[in-house]
Amino acid sequence: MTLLEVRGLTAGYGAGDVLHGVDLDVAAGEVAVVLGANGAGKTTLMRALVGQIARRGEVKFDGRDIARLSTERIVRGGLALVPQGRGTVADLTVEENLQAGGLTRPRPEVARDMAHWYETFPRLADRRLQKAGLLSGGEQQMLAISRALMSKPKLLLCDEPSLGLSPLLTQEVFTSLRRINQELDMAILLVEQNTVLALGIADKGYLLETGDMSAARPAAELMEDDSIRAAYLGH
Amino acid sequence: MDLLLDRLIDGFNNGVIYGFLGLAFVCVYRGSGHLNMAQGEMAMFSGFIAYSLYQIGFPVVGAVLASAVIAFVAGLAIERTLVRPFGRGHASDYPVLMITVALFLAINSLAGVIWGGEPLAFPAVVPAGPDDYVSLFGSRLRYQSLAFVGVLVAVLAALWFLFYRTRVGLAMRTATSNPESAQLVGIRVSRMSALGWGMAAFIGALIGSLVAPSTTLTTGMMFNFLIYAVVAATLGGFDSPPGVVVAGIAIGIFENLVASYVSIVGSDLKQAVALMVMLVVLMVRPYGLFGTPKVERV
Repeated sequence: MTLLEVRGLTAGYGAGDVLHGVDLDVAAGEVAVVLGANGAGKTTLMRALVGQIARRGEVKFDGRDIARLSTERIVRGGLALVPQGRGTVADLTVEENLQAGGLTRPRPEVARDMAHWYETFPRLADRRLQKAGLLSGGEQQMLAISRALMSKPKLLLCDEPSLGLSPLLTQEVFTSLRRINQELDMAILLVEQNTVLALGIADKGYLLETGDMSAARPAAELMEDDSIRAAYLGH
Repeated sequence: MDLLLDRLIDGFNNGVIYGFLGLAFVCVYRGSGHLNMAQGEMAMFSGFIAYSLYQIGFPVVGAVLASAVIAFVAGLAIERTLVRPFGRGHASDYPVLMITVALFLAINSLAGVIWGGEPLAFPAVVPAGPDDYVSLFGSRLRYQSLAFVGVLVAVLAALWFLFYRTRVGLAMRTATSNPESAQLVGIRVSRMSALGWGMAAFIGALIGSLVAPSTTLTTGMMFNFLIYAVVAATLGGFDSPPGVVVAGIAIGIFENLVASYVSIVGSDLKQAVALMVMLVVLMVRPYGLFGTPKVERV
């Protein structure tokens, strides 16, 4: 079943379009990755999907047209974004951030889910009452992901989770994402520069080059493709 | 000694008003991140509305509460029509500040047109005759002031409960601290902003009606308090309601003592003293005495 269906998505920041008619599909339970260099339009794509910037084209999510909805309504409809640079609320504690993530859901479920994420990421439990801004980069990324999942989305969008993290932590974050995908059957759409790790957990991949999107190809095939190796993997 | 106690009490009584009005500033700030210079005038206008309701037969307390509810709705309306169109964030700071200054003038003139320039006697909620006081070491704690403190404490407790124990409060704090991030968890940021304005107007209405019996009801009754309230909110820290009240009381006492005992200050330079204190504190602690420094992400 196709969860997210994007056709001819065009978006930008006023001066000119950054995305030129992007097509994209994500099926339920699937991990899809969009690979692209700096400035290819990856963040623009994420922001356009959740309605944070002006966009044109067709975006169908979970059978509904969301191309003209506000961010709040898109999120309430089950699409959660972990923005670039984490986007947790620095002034609130870890616990308050998680609670804020669950504001749209019934209280008992929030308490139960919060316990679940503390168990998944014990380091967050240790820092429950600390301000989010005081966490390390890796911890903040864990918090950002948990916070997005507190809204119990049907599709999780992640904007470059590896940004600013050490290779070891990046590995850890990707392992967590894979686990979340498998344990909760959570569909994930990831945009990344870190090609190897991203393809490692993905089912399929797209290439985004200066606003133009390639057709989808299986992740394993992309991994073997010499031209992609040359362009993105640097060897 | 008695004189000193009298001065302390006078300062305290003024300080409570500064702190109370400072709370209204905190609510607007928590809601939309703006500074509402018309806060005092909104309080004054609500006082007049309570007066008119009393005139047409409402009991005093009923009139005050009804005017507070009207103010709440007016606060929502002002946010929606005059503040929200200018957007959020720093780009909207100056336009909105200018609009609140315009509101200040407009509300003041409107009150003048409707109720005229003569001071009106506002009915007191608690007995306010010459003998209605509690004696403390020979100084007088008037029922009026005690009632004011009681309401202030209740409002403070309610605000604390709202901000730290309810979902709406958490949503408001999230929305002020990081609007984009708030939207990403489905918080309707613009509603939080309206709510902050409504709450501020509600609190303002209580202040207007509680101050009016002692100042008499005039269009200029809040001028003096406004500056001090801004100082209290700045000193206390815009994110700390109890801090704002403590700062308000401290300013009230301090200025009164300085005015009484430093002859060159007298009553003419009182406000300057308060502003000097604010300046010094801001140089040392830009986020206020009780505010928390903004945590920057690394």
